[in-house]
Amino acid sequence: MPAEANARVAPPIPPRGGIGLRAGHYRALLDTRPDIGWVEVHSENYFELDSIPFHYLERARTHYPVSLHGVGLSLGSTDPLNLDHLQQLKALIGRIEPGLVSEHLCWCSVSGRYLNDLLPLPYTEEALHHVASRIREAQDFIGRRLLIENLSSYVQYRHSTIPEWEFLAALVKLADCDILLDVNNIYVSSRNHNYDPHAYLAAMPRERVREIHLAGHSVREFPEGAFLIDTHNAPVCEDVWALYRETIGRLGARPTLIEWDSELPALSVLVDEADRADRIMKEAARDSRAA
Amino acid sequence: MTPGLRELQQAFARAVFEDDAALYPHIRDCRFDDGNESRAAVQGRTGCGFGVERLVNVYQHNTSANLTDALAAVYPVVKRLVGDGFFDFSADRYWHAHPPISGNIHDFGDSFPDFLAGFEPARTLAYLPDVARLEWAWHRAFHAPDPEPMDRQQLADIDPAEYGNLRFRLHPSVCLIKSVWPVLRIWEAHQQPGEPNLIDIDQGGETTMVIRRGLEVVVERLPPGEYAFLESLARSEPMASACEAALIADMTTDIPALLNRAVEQKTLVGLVRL
Repeated sequence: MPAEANARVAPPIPPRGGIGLRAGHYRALLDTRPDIGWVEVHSENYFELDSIPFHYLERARTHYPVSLHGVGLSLGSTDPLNLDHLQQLKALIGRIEPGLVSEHLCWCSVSGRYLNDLLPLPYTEEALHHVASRIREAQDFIGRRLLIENLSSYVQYRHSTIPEWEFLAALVKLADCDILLDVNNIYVSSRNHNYDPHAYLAAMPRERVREIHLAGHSVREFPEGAFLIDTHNAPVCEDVWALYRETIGRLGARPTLIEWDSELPALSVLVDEADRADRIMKEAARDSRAA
Repeated sequence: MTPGLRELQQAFARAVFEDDAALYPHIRDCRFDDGNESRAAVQGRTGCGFGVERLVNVYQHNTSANLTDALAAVYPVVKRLVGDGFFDFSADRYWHAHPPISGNIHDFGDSFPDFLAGFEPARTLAYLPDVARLEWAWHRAFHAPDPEPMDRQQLADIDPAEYGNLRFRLHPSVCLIKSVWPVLRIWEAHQQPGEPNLIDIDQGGETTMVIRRGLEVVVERLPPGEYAFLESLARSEPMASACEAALIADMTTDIPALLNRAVEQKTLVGLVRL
């Protein structure tokens, strides 16, 4: 585990509801200062330090703890780790002092071409050891622990030999990193691939899960049937709230982020969703005291 | 045969960029996966009944939509000028020919103006590449830092005999665009929703500066003398050459006023030490 030497006195991310901060909400957030626990941003949007977006992030940072969530590091790629990207991430961490830093269990690029999407890995011994060593390398470089997030996926590889939840649990031990558990992604993938989401939750090492994501997805209809796509353009659905309640029951309260990336509604809609996560965490705490 | 991780990733990328089928054998077909289910039994359940092509197509669609949206965010005026259908078509051709090479989407689309200049279906819209250049400059200025203003005392302390040798640093957001087309008029006409006023594209060219001022990106029309002056300084030429260029472009250029305004408005942010 890399020492957190660089993380001066970053305000910790509280076990409360937070929201993904997007450009369309900068002014509303700063003007209305809603009672939310924290905010998270996509790291790459702030790689250009002191840009106009960076100015708003710094201001948000004076009111809320900030978490950085990367989408382009391509940890699972077989290309060499992109040191230029890592260097920019490290510089951003130095300036923003985030409470948490996360990335995805995926690859985005190969042979220098970026597909600009989060692509699933085959769950094999080869991939497991490859990603684990890359996560270690990245953590050493930035001097911070990483949280690794499970994906929504639309394909499974024939040669995968390990269930995704076992792969993730083994990975975080091997790499000595933590987990960002996206409950909507578990739901979407479990529906698309017909696996049991409860088995996924049961396999998660409690102490490693340090953050939860919630988001809305879309149902895409094809002649053959329906398929769930992780679109981040809708409220969290009731099935996912139920799965979230179960997650909190198993793990205890965790920082929980509401992600909304396209067809952005009024900020208050996200704040209401974050409030709902807060209520569920409070109820779970009450239930566990009563038990 | 089991592919290695690299082989698999390369096949995946070729499936998305080149519509290549080498990936297909490695994807699990979820059509009747467990063998003894009838089609009727799996209907109404998600994730069943899909062939490999359909599944891979989800990823082709994601990349296409993400990259097209990224271009549309940077090039809204180009999109309005050509219409949604033609824009999507151009974007599709562009990302296939120039895939992103960075994990930061802000870097994507830098060569779109040059691509449009050589894009046969857009040949009749000769002004389009320059409008795109202006939009790319706006995008870069939005992500540029905003340094402190120049210390005026530093300038005052310089021996006037040395003025001609001075070299200046421009604000890092500055982009100077000279076009034979009225690109700024075209850009301005498309800043508000609704039908833009007609523009006579043969009314002559324009010289334009894009610059970040505080929390705004500003696009300004520059007189020929001012444009020549700043363009010379931007190429790290000394003050004497910049003044000469300004006066050649317009012999009535008021150089002291121009220099004063450039320092005042932070177009110039520092002196290059000799």
